[in-house]
Amino acid sequence: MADFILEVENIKKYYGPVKAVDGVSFKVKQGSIFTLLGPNGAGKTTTIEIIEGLRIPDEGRIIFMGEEITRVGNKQKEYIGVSLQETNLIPYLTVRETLDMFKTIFPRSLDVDEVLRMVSLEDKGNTYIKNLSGGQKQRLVIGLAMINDPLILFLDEPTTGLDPQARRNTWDLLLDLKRKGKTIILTTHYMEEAEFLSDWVCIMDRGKIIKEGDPQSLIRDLEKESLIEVELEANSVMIERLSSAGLEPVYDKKHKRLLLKTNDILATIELLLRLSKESSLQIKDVVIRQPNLEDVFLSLTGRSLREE
Amino acid sequence: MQIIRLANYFFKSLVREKLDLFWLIIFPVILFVILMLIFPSIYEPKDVTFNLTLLSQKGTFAEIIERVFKELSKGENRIFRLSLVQNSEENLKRELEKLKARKVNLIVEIPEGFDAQMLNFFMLKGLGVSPSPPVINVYSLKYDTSSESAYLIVKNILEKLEFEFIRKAGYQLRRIESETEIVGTKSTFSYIDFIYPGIVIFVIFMTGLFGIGMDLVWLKETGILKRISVTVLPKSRFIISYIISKIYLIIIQVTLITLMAKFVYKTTIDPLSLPFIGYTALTVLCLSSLGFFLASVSKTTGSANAISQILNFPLQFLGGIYFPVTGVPWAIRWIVLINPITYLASGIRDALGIMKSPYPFYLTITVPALWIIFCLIFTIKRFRLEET
Repeated sequence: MADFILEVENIKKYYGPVKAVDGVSFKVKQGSIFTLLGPNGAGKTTTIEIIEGLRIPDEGRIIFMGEEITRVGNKQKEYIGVSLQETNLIPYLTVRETLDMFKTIFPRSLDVDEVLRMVSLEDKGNTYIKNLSGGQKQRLVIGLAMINDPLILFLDEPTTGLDPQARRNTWDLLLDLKRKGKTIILTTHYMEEAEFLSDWVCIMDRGKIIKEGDPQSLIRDLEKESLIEVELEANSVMIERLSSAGLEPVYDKKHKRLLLKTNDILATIELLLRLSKESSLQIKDVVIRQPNLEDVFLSLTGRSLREE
Repeated sequence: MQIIRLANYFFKSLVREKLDLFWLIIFPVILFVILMLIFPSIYEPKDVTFNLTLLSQKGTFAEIIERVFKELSKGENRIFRLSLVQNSEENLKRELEKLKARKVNLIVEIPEGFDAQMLNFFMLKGLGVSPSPPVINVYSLKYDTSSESAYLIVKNILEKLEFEFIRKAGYQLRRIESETEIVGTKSTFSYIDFIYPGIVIFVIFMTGLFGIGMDLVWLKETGILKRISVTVLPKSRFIISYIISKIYLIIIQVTLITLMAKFVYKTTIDPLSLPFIGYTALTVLCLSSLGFFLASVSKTTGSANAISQILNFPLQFLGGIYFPVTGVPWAIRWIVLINPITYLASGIRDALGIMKSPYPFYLTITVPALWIIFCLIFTIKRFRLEET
């Protein structure tokens, strides 16, 4: 089998004037966690749904397990497991019945009890779907994606709407699946999720991949050791002065937050205090932190992942 | 069997949903009971003898017809009260006034020269020519059920009489001033026999519109169909298993209604008769495809609900399920005429001998069949498990 289990070349999907996916290319290594990171509307879901066979691309090539295809068909679907962005299940079936129903669909499948164990829902087998919590439902959705013992798992925003504990449990489950040799293709707009789970991240914005790499190298590329986040009402004079000092200020007017990149924390804070005194601006909060993927996105687009 | 297992799961989920269970299984039973409480007394035959005027002529053939009508108007079990009047323009005018005033239900006119026409007819026929048969005019009142019924009873009488010379000659009955046809029978009408096939059609209609149409839209809206479409299951297999699950439901519904009709209300209809099974199967096909049509045109449950309500009331109430709809004004009659339920209800009742269909047999099959073809073509073209 090829080193890359999936290759996507220049796929495009336009809806009238809207370029939902505009020439996206990437390669996914077997056994890795590959993440499409971007704000809502970046084109992540459309991209992943093209690969899942749900949408037909206007242009582009898909090389699936070494075989070039125009559209994902039943042959490929046997090897993929899918968790859609919003998955509702039939509310009056039990967890076990739902898994068995999907098991019926596939010619090759895992045992229901095995999947239940895998997603830690052994004690919920006879519970109706409607009575599951959000986290349990999400684990079941991943279990359903696993029922045909796929080689590739497509998980579209698998932790959206989950509480932190449930999100953490889902992460553990995904890492466990990776350890079992599964290739996972993930979309998310949570930078901490991408950072924690991914072997490779493609940052998407407005239908295009604007940067890709492993999370650490993407962050390292910022070439700044630290970031300082300040809450204050900045004025243009202050922004200009900070800019001329090489601190690359990004000001979020809506949240009144100023972000500065620096390799010298003390000098930057001194400058900041001086400028705020001169302009009679009151600093309400200061946070010093290490850069993350959110900052990578911000530096690339001038916008926050969350503000979309 | 993959299809059956899937169908079983669809069915399981349906019967566990209390609201669906109520509307699709319990409600038709309640409706059946309510209808049987209200309508039998209304439909109870009281004095259904109607007034008939025979405008006759002198002549051998006319006298034979006169004698037959006189015989049928005698005694306790008479079908009509007969007024025998000499046919003339003035008398016809007067009797027509009476008809409009509903003092007379039907006028049968043996026209001038009827005898001569008959003789001429036989003579020409003897010479090997095919002449036009003689005509008997019948005047009935538009939109008047008694008049309509009287017309069809007279028609039946003439058809069934051992009137050899007329039958052989091939007389023609011409109806005037009537746009509708109803056949009623005097003493054998039973509301349970009338309503039972209606309720069967009703439950299938509810299953088609709501159990299939609305349910599919909900499955689509919630993304359940989309989830199924990313598996290897072909759309055709999904649809077949889904329909099978609804057939399970229909079997339960029809069995329940049949048991009530048979053992509580003592219907004389044999539910295992071929015509009943045949028309029920046609109804299932027709109204299920209507459900798929609804699912194909609606993107959300909101729009499906609006469309289903638009379809529900006209199709249900103007389909002859609960009462005959042959006499409705033209303003709404077009709904009756394009409504597949009209033909299914008439067809099934005719086939079971409950009430003669005002439409020929072929229409009771072809109109629903055309609906099936239309809905299925539309479904194949438009129905998607997912939006692409």
